[in-house]
Amino acid sequence: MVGIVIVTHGRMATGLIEAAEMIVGEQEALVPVHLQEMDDVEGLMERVTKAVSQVDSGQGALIMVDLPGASPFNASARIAMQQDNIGVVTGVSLPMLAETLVQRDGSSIQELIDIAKNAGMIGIKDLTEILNP
Amino acid sequence: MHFRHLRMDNRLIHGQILVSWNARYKIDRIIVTNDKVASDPIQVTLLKAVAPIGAEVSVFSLDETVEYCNSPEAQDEGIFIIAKFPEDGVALLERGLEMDEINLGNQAFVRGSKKLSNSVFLTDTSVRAMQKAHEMGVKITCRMMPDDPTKEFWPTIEKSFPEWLEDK
Repeated sequence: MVGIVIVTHGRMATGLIEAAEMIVGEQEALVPVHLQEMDDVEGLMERVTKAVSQVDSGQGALIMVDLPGASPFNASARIAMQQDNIGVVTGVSLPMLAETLVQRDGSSIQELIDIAKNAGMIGIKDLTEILNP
Repeated sequence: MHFRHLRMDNRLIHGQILVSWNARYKIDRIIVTNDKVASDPIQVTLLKAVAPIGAEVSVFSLDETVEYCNSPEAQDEGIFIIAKFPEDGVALLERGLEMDEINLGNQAFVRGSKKLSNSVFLTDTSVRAMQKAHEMGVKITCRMMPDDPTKEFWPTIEKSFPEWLEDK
């Protein structure tokens, strides 16, 4: 099973995991990393690397981050560019995370990235459009 | 006059800049400058890949930054310069970049640094670099967000690190 690390500004990662587990039940190989005010990118890279080795049981890891271009992304991308078997996807949300978790068993990293992207995008709806299709 | 801002931030381009600063000012180009970053192909690729909406990203050495900012084409652009360390920002001034204000952004803890706030830790060499900027008549601010107060921040640095000041 592909491991998942969530890297966000503040404690959003922990909140997301707590929320996702309400929907899909308790998870293994799912670890949060938080960017704090005093962090630099290199220090954050160390913590993400440690989290990746914690969740990777040989099938690699998917790192989900919040904002493209921000420090959680920058740190994760630099790790993924230097290490095999790591995927990075941005815009982590509850729809994205919940769907990825239920599809995790038996999926490759690339398959999970496609699932995550798709779930993230279809998780955004405008009620007016739902009511007036 | 187009927007021009120099921020010293060791996280380089990140959320506050992508979202808050980019929404407030007309930024055509972000220049990330530090000699080591500019010679690291992985960091250069990444920094250019995630340019904020409406802006282009250049990653330059200190000399290239001064040269570009003083060139005719740069006069028509809103430019947000991000120097990795205070030493980098002040080196730009010494090499001929003209700025009325330099802004101290995030500086993470490194060995030998001391805490100024939750997001700013300074080393003795960065304090001395900013002392030089102050003596050149450049205003030093400490604004994480565009709405933070633009008051002169040097007295706070001076008061916090008296042991690191250079005798005048």
